[in-house]
Amino acid sequence: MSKITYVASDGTETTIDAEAMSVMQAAVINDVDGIVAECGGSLMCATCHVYVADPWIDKLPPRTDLEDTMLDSTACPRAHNSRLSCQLQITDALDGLVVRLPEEQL
Amino acid sequence: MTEPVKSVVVVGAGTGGVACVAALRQHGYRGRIALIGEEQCLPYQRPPLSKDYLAGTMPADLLPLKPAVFFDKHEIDMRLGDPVVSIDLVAAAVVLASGVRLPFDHLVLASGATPRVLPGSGRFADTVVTLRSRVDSEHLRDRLQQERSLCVVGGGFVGLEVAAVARKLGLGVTVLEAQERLLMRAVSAPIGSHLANVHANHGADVRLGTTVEDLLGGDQLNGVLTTTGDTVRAGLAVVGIGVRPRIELAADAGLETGDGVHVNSRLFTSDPTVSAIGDCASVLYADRGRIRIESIQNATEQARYVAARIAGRAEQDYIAVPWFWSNQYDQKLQLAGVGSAHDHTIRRGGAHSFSVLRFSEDRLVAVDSVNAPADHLAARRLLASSTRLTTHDLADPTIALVDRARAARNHASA
Repeated sequence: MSKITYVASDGTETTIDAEAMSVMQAAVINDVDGIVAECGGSLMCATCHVYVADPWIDKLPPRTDLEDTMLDSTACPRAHNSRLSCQLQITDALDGLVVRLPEEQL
Repeated sequence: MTEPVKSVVVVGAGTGGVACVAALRQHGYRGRIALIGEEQCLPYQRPPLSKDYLAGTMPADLLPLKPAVFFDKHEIDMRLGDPVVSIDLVAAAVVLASGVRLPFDHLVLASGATPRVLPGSGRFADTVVTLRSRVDSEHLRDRLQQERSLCVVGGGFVGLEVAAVARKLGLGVTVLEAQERLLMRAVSAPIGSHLANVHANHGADVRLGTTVEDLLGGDQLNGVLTTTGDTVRAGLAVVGIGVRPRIELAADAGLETGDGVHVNSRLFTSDPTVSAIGDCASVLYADRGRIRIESIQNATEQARYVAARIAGRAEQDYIAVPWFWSNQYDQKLQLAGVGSAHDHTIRRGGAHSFSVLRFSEDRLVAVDSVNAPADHLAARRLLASSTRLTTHDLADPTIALVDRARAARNHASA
């Protein structure tokens, strides 16, 4: 199990334990507010946008072209540390991952 | 001045219904909300039922749209497995199968659609099936593990996605499509033939202009007699020949219906205390007539609009650019806009990554993309802008759609 921390735009932190699913899926099943995931993880909607905390950016698998394209459609501005959380599969290596949630996804 | 809405009942716990109740709370609506669904299980996502869930690569705990605690936390009164059996508009209440009466100030119909069945298929029990529900997907998943040959009746999205899953599991697959091309209702001819080639290249036997003459076997299917006189040997047939909107409750209550529950451009039915959204709703648009769309985006976006409207936050009419996706093998099909079978088309791109621009009366109305996500996103923006784009405007293939979209946005904000 890995600990994943979601930091809401108002600063509220929620830490959950998860494995064998994406950061997006873990947010949905743990009822963490701030991730919409309208397309259920198909890289079609850009509503699972997160800002990855600094030490973790390089520990994640690189973006595919498709994710990179979809990141241009996020509701909140794209930053250097923007990722679509449906593409971040939780493994042991991500234990302690911290992501900040944008104010809006739609 | 209208009375404030203090009690909302949502009929149907699918994608639209769940999105509606979630959006109501997000918009600050604090009144009573009831969500009624005919299935006992927690409301779930439908797209994986013909993709990863059917293939057995997605665990069951990832299927629900929201966990149970979400509904508790937001004080949504859940009535699962107790469907509405009638709507009493005079008393402003719905009656459930259990006999419970739930009053409402506003009713949202999100009752979805139900698969069309092949006449005469009833006697074949679970060897001739449709695929709509979670239970359907679980049963089909089990059968696909046991069968060697599958006949897919209907070359639409469900049929083709099931065909791809089945081929990857090693079954022999025959696809029967009555029209002269696959996905005729939804996609342009070039995409239809591209996908037919993809399926054939993966070893499926795709037969266009062919449908079922007869189903063969006793109480278990053993073959399908086609309209061209061939017998396709198969112990399992999946029928994907479309759905029909569930309008019975609305029609019985005296609401205006046709191909769907009729709503206006603010998604009100013929009764202002009732709205309809999603697969069951037929919307009358100012500029393009009546349309009913079957997609996730349509259900969620209409759900959010109705919720915003109830919460007093939607001044304008409902407007959206429909979009849709389908995954078949490594093909990522993305559609933007609403086309029709005889649109004029312009194809742009290569053999494996391309888009088809669709024009009706020389106006861009839709773009179908295969493995071209940048085109698809640009298309959504272009179709959302009020600029009328003609074949002349888009004829130059050296100007990427992305750049067109950027130009349109810059022009609009200039």
